[in-house]
Amino acid sequence: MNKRGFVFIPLLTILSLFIFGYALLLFATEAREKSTKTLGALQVDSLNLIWDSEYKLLNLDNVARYAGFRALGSLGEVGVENGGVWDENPKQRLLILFEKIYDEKFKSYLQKTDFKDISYTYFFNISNKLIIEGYAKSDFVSVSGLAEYTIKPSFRVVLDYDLGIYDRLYEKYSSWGKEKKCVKQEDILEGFSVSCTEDKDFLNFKVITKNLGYVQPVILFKIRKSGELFGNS
Amino acid sequence: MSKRGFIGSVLVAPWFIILFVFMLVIFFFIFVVIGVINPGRQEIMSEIENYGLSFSILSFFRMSSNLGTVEDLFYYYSKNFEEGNLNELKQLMKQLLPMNTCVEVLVNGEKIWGSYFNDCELHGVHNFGLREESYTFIDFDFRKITVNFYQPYDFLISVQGICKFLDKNQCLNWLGCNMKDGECTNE
Repeated sequence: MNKRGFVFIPLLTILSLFIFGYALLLFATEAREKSTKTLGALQVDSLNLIWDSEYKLLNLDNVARYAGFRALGSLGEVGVENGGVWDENPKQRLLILFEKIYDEKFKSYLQKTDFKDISYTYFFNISNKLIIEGYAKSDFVSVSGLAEYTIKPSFRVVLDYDLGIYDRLYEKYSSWGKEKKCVKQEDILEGFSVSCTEDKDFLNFKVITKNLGYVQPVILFKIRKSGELFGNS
Repeated sequence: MSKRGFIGSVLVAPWFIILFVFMLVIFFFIFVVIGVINPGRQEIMSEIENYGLSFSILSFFRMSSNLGTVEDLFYYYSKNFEEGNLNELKQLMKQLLPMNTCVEVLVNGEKIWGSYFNDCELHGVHNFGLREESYTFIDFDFRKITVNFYQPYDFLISVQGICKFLDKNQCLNWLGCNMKDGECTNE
């Protein structure tokens, strides 16, 4: 080592140490902050799957609602057994029919979603509103890269529609059947317009109920004129 | 100073070079240990940052008003183009989506009339770049409604003529650009 080298080497070593040390101080704080936020590939894959599943579940909630609207739209027109002739407790009878129609409608919508291979068990609650709960019988598994995410895609739908209107319609208009005629051609029940027409054996009623946005259910029903069902001949 | 000068003095000093390389190695390990150097980090961090809009979009779609949910409003508007539904949608967008988010709506892959919502009107669609997020759902009539969310791109390159510089894939994902006769155009 020459004389100048003897001076430069310690000088440059100290300078380099100073520069590296400064860089270390500068980045160390930032690195400490970031290290708690940094996720690995597995976590990123998991997050992607979670978001993706959220969108799929949102879509499921929608189709479950649509099926409810469709079923309500069909229900009033289909009526009950005997070609739409109502007798006591129409709500309970119609609920059984609603469950059947809902299942058909929901399955047709479900075909358009990612959960088409999953079958469901339904629970219907009819208080003031119509509540439908659907529980998936199997899991839905999504895989992305290293991650696997499993969900049970169930749903809960609340429709602002009171099926009790079927009972109240029957309670009010069954007495017209006993009288064997339309007491009024047009009547009002719960704010809905009720029209009545007669034929040989039946009184035919038509009610256009509240607008649910997608559908405005129409209720068509018949009440027997003879009054035999109520003990009158 | 000799003829070799300052640089020459350093280069001919092997001890310094050995020491310098040694320091580099030591500091590299220190930087890796504390996490400053991580080749995968940039990619991962940028993916995480993108979730910002996803949060808003999920909340946006779960929102409902007196006229119905966001999906309901998109459906009603695509059917009848009623002003009331549009105003309700705009209100919900203003409440939840980040500022300057431009929303594009397609029904069965076709843009509907007035398919751009939110700040697109204010800024002009050509100031928006690649789409940030997209959500497709089935509507009441079994149609596929796709909602694309765009955010403003760098102003300097978001000029009206950008379409002709994009390849097919970019073109399909760029707001305001369409493929026509094999070329990307803003027509």
